[in-house]
Amino acid sequence: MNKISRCQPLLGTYVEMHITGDETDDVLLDMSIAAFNEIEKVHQLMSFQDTESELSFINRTAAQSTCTVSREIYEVLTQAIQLSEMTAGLFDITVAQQLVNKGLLPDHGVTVDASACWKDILLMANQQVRFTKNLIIDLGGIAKGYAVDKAVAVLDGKVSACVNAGGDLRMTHWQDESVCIRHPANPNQVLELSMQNAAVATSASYYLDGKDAIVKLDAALGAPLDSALDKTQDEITASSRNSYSVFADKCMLADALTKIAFLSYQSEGCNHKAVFSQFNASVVQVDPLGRITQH
Amino acid sequence: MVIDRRTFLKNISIAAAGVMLPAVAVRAKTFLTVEQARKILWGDAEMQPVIVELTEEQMDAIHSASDTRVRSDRLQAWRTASGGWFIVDQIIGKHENIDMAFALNHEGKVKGLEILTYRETYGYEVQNLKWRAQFHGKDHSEILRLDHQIENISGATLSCRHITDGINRLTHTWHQVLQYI
Repeated sequence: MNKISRCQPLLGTYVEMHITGDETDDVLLDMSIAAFNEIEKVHQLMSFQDTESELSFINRTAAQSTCTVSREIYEVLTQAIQLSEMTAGLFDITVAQQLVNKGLLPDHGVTVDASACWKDILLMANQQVRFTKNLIIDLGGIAKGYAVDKAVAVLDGKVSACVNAGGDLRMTHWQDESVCIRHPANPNQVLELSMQNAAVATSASYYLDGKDAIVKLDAALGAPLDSALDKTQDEITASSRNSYSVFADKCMLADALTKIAFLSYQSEGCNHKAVFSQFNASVVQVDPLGRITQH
Repeated sequence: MVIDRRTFLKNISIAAAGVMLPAVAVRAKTFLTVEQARKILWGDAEMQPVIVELTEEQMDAIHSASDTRVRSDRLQAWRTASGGWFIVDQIIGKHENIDMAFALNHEGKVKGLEILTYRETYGYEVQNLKWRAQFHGKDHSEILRLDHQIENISGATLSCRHITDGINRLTHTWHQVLQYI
């Protein structure tokens, strides 16, 4: 057995790839190059920051005229809108404007209607998209998982692999594997869990410093900003220190569902349990003491 | 209430068990060797090692042009027959410390890059997984297994913006120094 491990800065984070198989170094390296090409393609299509990306083109034009988009973006938009419908807008990719207002995403100068939401994104046949109000979208909460899925899809079935985009990871042979989840109160420590499905993604509040951190996180995840701002810092921090990992068969689902888990399990109970069961996804909560709860 | 020493210790150990186990410290991750990175970035292109030593003036000029601190006055670099460069350098981030390989073409544009080693810098214990593990009664095979499992860590996404700073610093190093060598 031979093994190759690579890491590239892509999708705004560190993307790791480990490929093991009965092949030479050169063959495994070539596979990794093909898989990283898929991730780079998604990066180029769906980057909000890059004004040349297809996403930026859609943000500039879809309110004025119908756009024919790539199969990739159409696939991600379809999944995002389905999750918005199922969660009554808790997951909402039109949160982009709030992120721009907070300085978390660059301002590309598009005028946005404050009342616009996911319902104003119209997906039509033949990969056509139209915005019925002036709005912008950000795929930051779902595209990393999609990129991981695309990378895994081009790998030869004879090798075993793990692709990890900053914590959104998928394995080809996950049944006997485990994954390490960062300790919510001390991210240089990890807790080992058995893999419960092919993919896992985690949301947590570490790596965010300063008093704005949780508000930023809520904004990044698409929570209603006003309600977050109304709380005192202690209330926000206390309710947000758990981490939530979601296991699903696709990394795109795990990526998006972990945002829904983080936002909905914070409050008393969770209003969206049906969403997780519909996708056969499982949720693992880790609290600041390192205690694990399986939802 | 007076708690005797044994009860006190027992309570401590229960508390500690809840917090500490099965947590382990996160360590460095090694990806490609320099040779593998060279092959991916430059194929079989011929190259010669070049000793690059930056003067204080050059370091200041690169610093102000790239808005990134220049930590070392030496560069581990190779020049290709076509006038391109292969550079092995270190990036220091807020949470991470990374050895990287860069390829710059003959015009100083980034042709590609590879991360060779990635170390987390949360605390001193990061480097000490094996040292710590022996006190938890783990044998060598178990430590090896941890080495394997710890590859796959899920957590909140960490930004890679320090790499952008590093690229900036190296392209300005080309503009200030390498293109004249």
